[in-house]
Amino acid sequence: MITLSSAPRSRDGLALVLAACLVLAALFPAAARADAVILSFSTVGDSRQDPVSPDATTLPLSGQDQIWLQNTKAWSRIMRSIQSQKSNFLFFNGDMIMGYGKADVPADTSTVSAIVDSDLVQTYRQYAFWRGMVAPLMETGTYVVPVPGNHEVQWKAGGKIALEVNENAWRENMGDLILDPTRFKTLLGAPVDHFDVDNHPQIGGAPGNAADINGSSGTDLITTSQRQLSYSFDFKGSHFVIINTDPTGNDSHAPVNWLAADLAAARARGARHFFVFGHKPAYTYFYNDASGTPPKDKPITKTAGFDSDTKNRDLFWNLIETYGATYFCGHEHIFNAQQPTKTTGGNAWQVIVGSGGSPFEAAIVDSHNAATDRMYAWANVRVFQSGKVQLDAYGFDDAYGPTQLIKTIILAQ
Amino acid sequence: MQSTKILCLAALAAAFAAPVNAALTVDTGAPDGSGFPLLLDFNDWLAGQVTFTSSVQIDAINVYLDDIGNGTGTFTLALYADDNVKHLPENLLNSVSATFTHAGWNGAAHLDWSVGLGTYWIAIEGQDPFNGGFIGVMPVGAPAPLTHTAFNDSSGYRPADGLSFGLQVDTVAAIPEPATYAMLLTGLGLLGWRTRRIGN
Repeated sequence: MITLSSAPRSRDGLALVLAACLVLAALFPAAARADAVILSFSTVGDSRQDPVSPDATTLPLSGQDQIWLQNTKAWSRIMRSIQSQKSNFLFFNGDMIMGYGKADVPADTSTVSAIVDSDLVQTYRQYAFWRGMVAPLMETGTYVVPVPGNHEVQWKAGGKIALEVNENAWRENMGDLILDPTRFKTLLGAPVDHFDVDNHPQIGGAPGNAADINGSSGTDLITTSQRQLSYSFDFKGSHFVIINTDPTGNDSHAPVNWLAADLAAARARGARHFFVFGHKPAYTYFYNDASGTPPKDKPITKTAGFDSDTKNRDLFWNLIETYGATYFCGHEHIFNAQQPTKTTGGNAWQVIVGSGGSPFEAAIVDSHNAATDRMYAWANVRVFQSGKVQLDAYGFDDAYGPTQLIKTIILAQ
Repeated sequence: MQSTKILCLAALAAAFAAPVNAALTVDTGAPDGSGFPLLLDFNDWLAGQVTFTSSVQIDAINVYLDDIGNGTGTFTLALYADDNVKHLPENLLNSVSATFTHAGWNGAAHLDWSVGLGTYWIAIEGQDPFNGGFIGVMPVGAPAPLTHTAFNDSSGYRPADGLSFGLQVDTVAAIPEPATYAMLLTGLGLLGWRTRRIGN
């Protein structure tokens, strides 16, 4: 009897609860609830100072910056804001040091000064200073993810070519960050997913530019180990890829074959958002050149990225578009966000944030340039629970005025 | 004698019963968003110089904010003295925590901050984001911007005139302190005593 009589009451109660839930759901629709940020990151590059041709607005260089070759004022201020914005990651898109030397055993070891002045010691010293500058971020919840740039891996005196000794120096000075699963979990409260230090472009391929994601070789003309130079990982449903755009033997190229396989694997395991970071742009931003005679609105024409090889660029960009990815880079000391193939139906963004303190590309005298061309700038990206992805770019001018929101892009709805 | 008493009572009643009408002493108007918005977070603070031509009580301060999608959060509204040399915010006189609730005017009311005639700074300062601090922006393009403005990027306030963010300050006429009332009563008492003596 008890069972028979309680069952209808139980069903009535359940129906009541369901009805209440429906009423509440109608009154407070999900769309109206706060859309939580599930992860965020900041990205910038190019903080190194130039001892030969610094930006006029940074003169006189402090004694410190003359030795360790950073734009400490701009770069430390950017980091303070990144810290304040609670970014989970800082992706630094290369050229953190002046470098450009040959980090090999010094030819002259006869005196202390000869050793100290060697490319090897100079390179390590500059790395150490930059690492010290970013160290506080790693203590306050922001994991620093480094991306190699041409100043780290190339040797200028040898004709701006990447060297294996410089790639080794990169690993020596950055390897502990790429990636430290224990520290990662401590900082971010969740483990890094699908990071494999051995997942990188493999050595192989014929000389010349034969990179072809549909070809039989399936290689990226790699001649040296790219361990910790190109790598990838997942975090909270997003896939992050770091590419070395100046591998030894194939400078100014993206490893498109490896990237294609890496992105496909990430999609297969359910990654929803794709972010790719490299140093050199796929599409050069042709800001106005102020060096000519008036009118000074002549755009620069020399390519700065791997658009010097349009085949490689097009293969790369096709991947970016296919995966709805966003490409963040530096190299050009400027801020620029563009949709390079928008006129032909493309949607993907290339965001140049090579504006972390290095001498600006655009000259101060050229009023034809965009206001943001001479801003120290960085991007902050937030991935929301709903799937929305929002990019906000911030910057301050060369007079170190207040920080402004200079661009907002909804990368995904 | 009777008339003196009536006069005293009337004066007191008038003093206590005077209507307290808030006036919008500072009003830049709402920004139209015609330039890059200014970042407001724990590292990036803003301030505007305001002048009061008489002693007043600040009743409410509102600033025009946008949240860039982060939702709610707290920020600080602070009153500083002007340093009279560099004309920048100097000594902190008062501060209050406010909560961002929506894009537009946000702030705090019922402040009762007494200020004398002179020049001051109203600052909008971010709080620790790890403890609910607001991260957002202050749109610019207010139709009647403040003449003198400043910002602080954690290295102290620096001049940056021309920042056209939105600020409103409501004030009421200064309400005398208890000591002032005591002085008034003493004075009235003396007047009454003197009148009585003359009458006698």
